[in-house]
Amino acid sequence: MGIKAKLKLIGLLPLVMAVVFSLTFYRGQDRLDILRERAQLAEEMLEELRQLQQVSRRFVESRVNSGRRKGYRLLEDLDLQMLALKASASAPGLVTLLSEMERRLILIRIHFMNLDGLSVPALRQLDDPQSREVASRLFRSISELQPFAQRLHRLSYAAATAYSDQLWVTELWLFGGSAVVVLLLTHPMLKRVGAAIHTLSAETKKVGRGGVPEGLVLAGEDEFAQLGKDFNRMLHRLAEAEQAREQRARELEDAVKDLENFSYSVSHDLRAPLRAIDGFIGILQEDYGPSFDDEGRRLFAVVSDNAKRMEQLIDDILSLSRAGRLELEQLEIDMNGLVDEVWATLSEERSGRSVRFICGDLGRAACDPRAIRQVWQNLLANAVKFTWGRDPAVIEVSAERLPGAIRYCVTDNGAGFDPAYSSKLFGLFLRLHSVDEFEGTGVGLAIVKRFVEKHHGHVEATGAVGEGAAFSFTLPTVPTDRSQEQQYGQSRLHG
Amino acid sequence: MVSQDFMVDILLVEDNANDAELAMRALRKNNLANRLEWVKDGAAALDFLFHRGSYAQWPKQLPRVVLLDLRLPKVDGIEVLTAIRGDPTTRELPVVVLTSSREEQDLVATYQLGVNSFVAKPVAFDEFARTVASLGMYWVLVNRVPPEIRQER
Repeated sequence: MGIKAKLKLIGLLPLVMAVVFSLTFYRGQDRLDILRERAQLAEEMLEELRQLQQVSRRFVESRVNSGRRKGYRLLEDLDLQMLALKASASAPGLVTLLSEMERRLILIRIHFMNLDGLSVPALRQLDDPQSREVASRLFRSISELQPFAQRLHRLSYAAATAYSDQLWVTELWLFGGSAVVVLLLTHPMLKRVGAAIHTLSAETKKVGRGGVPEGLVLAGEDEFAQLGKDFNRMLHRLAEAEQAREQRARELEDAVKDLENFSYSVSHDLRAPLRAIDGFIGILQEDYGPSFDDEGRRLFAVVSDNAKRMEQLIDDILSLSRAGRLELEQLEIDMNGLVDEVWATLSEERSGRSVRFICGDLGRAACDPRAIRQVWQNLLANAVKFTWGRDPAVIEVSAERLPGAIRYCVTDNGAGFDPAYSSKLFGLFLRLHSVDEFEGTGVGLAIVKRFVEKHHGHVEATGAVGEGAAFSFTLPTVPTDRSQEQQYGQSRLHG
Repeated sequence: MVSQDFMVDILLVEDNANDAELAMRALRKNNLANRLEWVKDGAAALDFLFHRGSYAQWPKQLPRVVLLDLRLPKVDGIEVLTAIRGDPTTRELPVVVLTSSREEQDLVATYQLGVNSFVAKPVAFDEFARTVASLGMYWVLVNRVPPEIRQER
């Protein structure tokens, strides 16, 4: 039987109990009423017999007509009471007693009627021996009936009291019995519910701590057994999902390893032929240079320049790939210190030029110093590169607090760019200037974008042709939801 | 008595013939290539250093420096370095890694194995020539090693 059915049954039980209680009580009360009425009737009979005694005595003495009538009325009442008693009596002892009483009542009536027949209304105070004889018989009969009536009263009263006690005992037993039944029915169920909930919660905790437990055993046929089966099915699916996830993680790991191998090969193997090209062109120039004319030597230079440019491309691709793979570690750093350091490394690029560098208060920020150093390096190197020919070149670095983030901005008065193409600025290998104008591979800003977005910030550029450019990036000052989610996810994976 | 012809100052371990040629040219220009042995893979390098195989008849003397590439056929540079540092006779031998790799992982790994120097090969010819020449000058002419390393065993 299921838990639900059992619960319904237990819910119905009080109703059944109430019906049984009231039925028992109702029937008991009915019977009790009969017993009480019987005692009442016996008492009334006793009273009427006493009255009949008095009335008869007075009648014998005074021969008053009213006494006669009253005697008959009392006799009729006694008959009626006798009938009522007989109607409700069923026990053999009681029936015997009642028939005894009836017999005596009939005798009383006969004696009374005899007495009445012997009396003459006109004659008062008649001393008639026959009348005296009848009267004495009447009195004897009455006094004979009286003990019977008393006995009936006593018996009925005792029966009523006993029955009332019995009724209460019965009700108490019924009450106690039903309480025991309810307890017997609910106890195993409560035990079952308790045990099942305990097991379920323990298993759920195991799942919560990571890993897939071996499964849950809840024997039986009820809802908890079903729940256990469902739970196991869920665990099974969870295990499958976990397996699939692990499989994907392995594939991803392989892919990352492939990529690392690839970039290693690029780093190592693509450089060798370049070195050979540049090296042997160099040897050719050194050993046979004098026999070439100017055009020949210019062609050597073209080959050599392209080999070097190719090397730059390889380096940039590698650093972009490294930027993607870098696992960030957040440190609290002094931005002004970092920018000053980076600016110092650019001294060679700006040597012999007049460059004004204005750096505002940049404050401190939580970020990965390796990544953000590269960001400043690329932005400042760009600013130096694109202000070539300006006298003086002005490069300004500033910071601005935003809600939940800080924005850094590098402004220059250099060549600028056409805002129509600003969306292409941060794209990989996309350049808005020809190589003849400004050297570069179009990777620097792509790396900036990648690093800033890894910090959950974003990059922006404004500018106009010939009027300089402003590049800005934001760093969040509070941990973003995404990074919290990742941390949570990781801790869950490891936990 | 060891013949002067068999004395080796530099062991160049380089599988790329072009790179080897460029390096030897740069060394030759500085008169450093006379006592140089060039091997093309890690196995040959170990044969040379441990006097095995085709080098079994050679005098049992170690070079002043080993210029070691990392990507090598048969036995790669990291394994060669591990073998050198793992053997008591070669543990203190100066080893310079000369590689195309600019990967931090290589730098870290070789330093952990106790490399004496890590040099990335420049692509530009003049720079490459300068770098190799100054390496040769330093390790062959300037640097001094404990006497037991050069002793015949």
